[in-house]
Amino acid sequence: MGVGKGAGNQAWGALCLGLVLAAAVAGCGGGGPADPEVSPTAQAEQGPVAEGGTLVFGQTSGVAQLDPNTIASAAQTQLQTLLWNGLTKWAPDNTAQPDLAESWEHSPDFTRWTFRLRDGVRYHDGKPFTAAEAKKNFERVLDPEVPAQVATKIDMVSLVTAENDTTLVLELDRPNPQLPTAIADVKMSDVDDIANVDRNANGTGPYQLRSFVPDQTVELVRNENYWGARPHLDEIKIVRYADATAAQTALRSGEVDVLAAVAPDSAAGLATEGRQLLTAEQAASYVVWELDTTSPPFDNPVARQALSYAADRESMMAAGYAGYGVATPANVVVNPKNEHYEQSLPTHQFDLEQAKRLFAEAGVGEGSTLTFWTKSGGDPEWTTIGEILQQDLRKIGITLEIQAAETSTWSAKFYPQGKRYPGTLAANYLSFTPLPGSYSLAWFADQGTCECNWSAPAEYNDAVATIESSAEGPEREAALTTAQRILNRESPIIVIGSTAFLSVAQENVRGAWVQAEGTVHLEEAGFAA
Amino acid sequence: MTRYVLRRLGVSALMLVLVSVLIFVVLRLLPGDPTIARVGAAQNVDPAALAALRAELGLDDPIPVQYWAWITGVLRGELGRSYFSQFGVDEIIGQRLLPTFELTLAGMVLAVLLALALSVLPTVLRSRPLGRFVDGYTTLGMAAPPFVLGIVLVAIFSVRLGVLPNEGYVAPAEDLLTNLRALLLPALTLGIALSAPLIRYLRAELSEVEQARHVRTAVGKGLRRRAVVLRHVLPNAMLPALTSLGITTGAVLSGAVAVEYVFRWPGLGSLIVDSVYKRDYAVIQSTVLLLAAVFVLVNLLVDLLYGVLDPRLRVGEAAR
Repeated sequence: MGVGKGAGNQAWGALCLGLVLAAAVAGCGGGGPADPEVSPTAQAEQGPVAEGGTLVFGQTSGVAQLDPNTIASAAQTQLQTLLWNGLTKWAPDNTAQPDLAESWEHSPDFTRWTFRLRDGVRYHDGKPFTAAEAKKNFERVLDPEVPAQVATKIDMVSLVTAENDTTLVLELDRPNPQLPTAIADVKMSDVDDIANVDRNANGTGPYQLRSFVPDQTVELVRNENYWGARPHLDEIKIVRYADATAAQTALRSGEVDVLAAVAPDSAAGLATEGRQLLTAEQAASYVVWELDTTSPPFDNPVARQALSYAADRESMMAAGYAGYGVATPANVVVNPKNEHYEQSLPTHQFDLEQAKRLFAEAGVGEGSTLTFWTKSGGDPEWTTIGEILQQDLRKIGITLEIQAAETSTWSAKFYPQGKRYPGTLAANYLSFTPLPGSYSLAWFADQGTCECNWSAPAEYNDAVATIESSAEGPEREAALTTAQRILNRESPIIVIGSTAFLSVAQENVRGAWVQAEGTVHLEEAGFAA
Repeated sequence: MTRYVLRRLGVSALMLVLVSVLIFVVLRLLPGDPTIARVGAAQNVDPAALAALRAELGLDDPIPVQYWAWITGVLRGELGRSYFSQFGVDEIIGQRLLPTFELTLAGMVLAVLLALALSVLPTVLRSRPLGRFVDGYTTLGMAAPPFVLGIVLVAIFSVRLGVLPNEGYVAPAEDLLTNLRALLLPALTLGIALSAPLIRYLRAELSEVEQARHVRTAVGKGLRRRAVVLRHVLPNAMLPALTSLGITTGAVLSGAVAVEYVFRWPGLGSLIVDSVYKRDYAVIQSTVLLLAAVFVLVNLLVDLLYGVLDPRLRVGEAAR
């Protein structure tokens, strides 16, 4: 056998490999980052927008299915405003604007809402959209056996009535002054044909489905019969890339027009050559550590506070998010830029001595070990943040073991609510609608689903109930303050910072804008004329 | 020969049964829950909805019951439905079959061409520098995993030179030219990775056959070196290489998984990876079983072909 002959020449192979890799690295090198401006909207105001063209939207997560009310992944939210409409829709300032409902009115106690729907709207296949269709969608979302995430936002709806083709009445079992924002994410699909949604995606939106290959591509074409303003683009292709490197390569080569969820440390390097860096005006996403508040040591609020003081939030956000985020030392799920953020809250500024003292009080002494549970293959920022904590805890004699698992294994550890994960910090990323939407605060309440298993005190539950049922005014303001104050004191989870996904658009893209939770809106997008 | 064929068929069927049980059990042992993946680990799903989904997918049944339902379905040609999309598993596999077939075929053809060229040329030309280059090539091809090779090729040809796309599969029926352009880099990646062990094997065989008596006789009769290698050495070296190629099918399939993922090639490989992440058992188990069946079938065919090509095997079988 002569196989051994080649083995003596491994140096050749190594040399070739080295040369090729060097060439590859040289090829990947780009210009240095130049601190590009971050904007929520792609230069919509600059010059006329051309009619036509195909916009390619790149992301690294695939769209697994199309049902708009039982979303399987964040990647799917891109389709929410392209294929579908709600009765209301989000505006960039996080207010609800008319969509399929032209107007609405409510009873003085906010328990009966009447929505006037647009006349003459049709689904993509020509079927008329009426209040009866809207009723079917609400009832489907409210069916406990349908895994509709949006149900929690409208669970106070007790009766849906289609009074005529253009009048829908929602009756609530408790008042909700924010109902128009709560229903923005309930999308109107053809419920009668929902069993074929992945083939037809029969909606009322500005684009309609041309083809769908799960986890690969979704191709949309302009809905020529759209009831609203004619969309600019002929086609939109949502393309999934295997990883960030492949996606960024496609952006650099011009194959992709808008790239979603760019890693923060790559953002500045990508937003060169006129490309635009987009992010939400006011982020409503949070980098957090979830704790099991029913298992030692984090069943003790003192241990949770100790951890909060041990978190060097400024360094963590700087290292993990390249400065594209805001540290939240008050440890609440409210963006410090939000007008309802309670400025007077005591802050948990990084203080290792304080952390050491509190940890000792809670029985977490020197030599103790905690676990940092994070993802592999995604969200590397979480690990960066964990490593900073690991180094700091080491200084006070506590070992932090960092363990990473792929997404399904990672979520199985602590999700859904009710699981025990003692001594573990589950790194996570949470998105909520910003205040005055009450969802972020309600998530911790007794009827909420926080995986922290926190048993909220009655005062907190009362405050959330008041926020949900009160119109603007001193009563609701006081409740907002109370809820934040209790979160700050009890620290059921540790909130490191507020941030939003960054997206990069090519220089000629116009009209795309980013919602608070990170979704890029393309319904009005086009190319510069 | 008939007994040999029957025995090989029986072994193949048994292997497939074992593979099916193994896939099924291993998937159920994985941490993670398909129903949670389906609703996206959302922050607000009613436990009743998760329970309803679990019941709908049949995940409440004992594992042997689930297995029996699946395997009898497979035997009836009913592979079930994805836990995520509304597409049937057969439909999903159907969507991905052509791209994988195209990629593996192109990869294997390139591998064979590269292997023939790079093993025969140094022998014919008796060029030591060329031999060293080929040895370096095989070391590189065997050392670098296909996905690393893929990324390097992308960096050079897509990013640096900008001459080839790094993705963008289009069905051949839709646009053949675009299809072939998109195919080139992934096929080359797979071809290089597969050719390396084949070249090693062929070069070893060529070197061995060169010493054989009939070859020395041919040289002694004054035949030109090129004719000796092509007519007398290569055919004799090809037979063992054929077995190697059969075994390589396994590498093709596993290599294609990584290559498809790097190049966003919408084939069975990337389907398996995505389905594993989502815990879409229905898709994974049938796709892996299909690939196992292809592997078993190719090896069966190679074994039978070997029996046809090598009379000694048939004689040996008949003598039993």
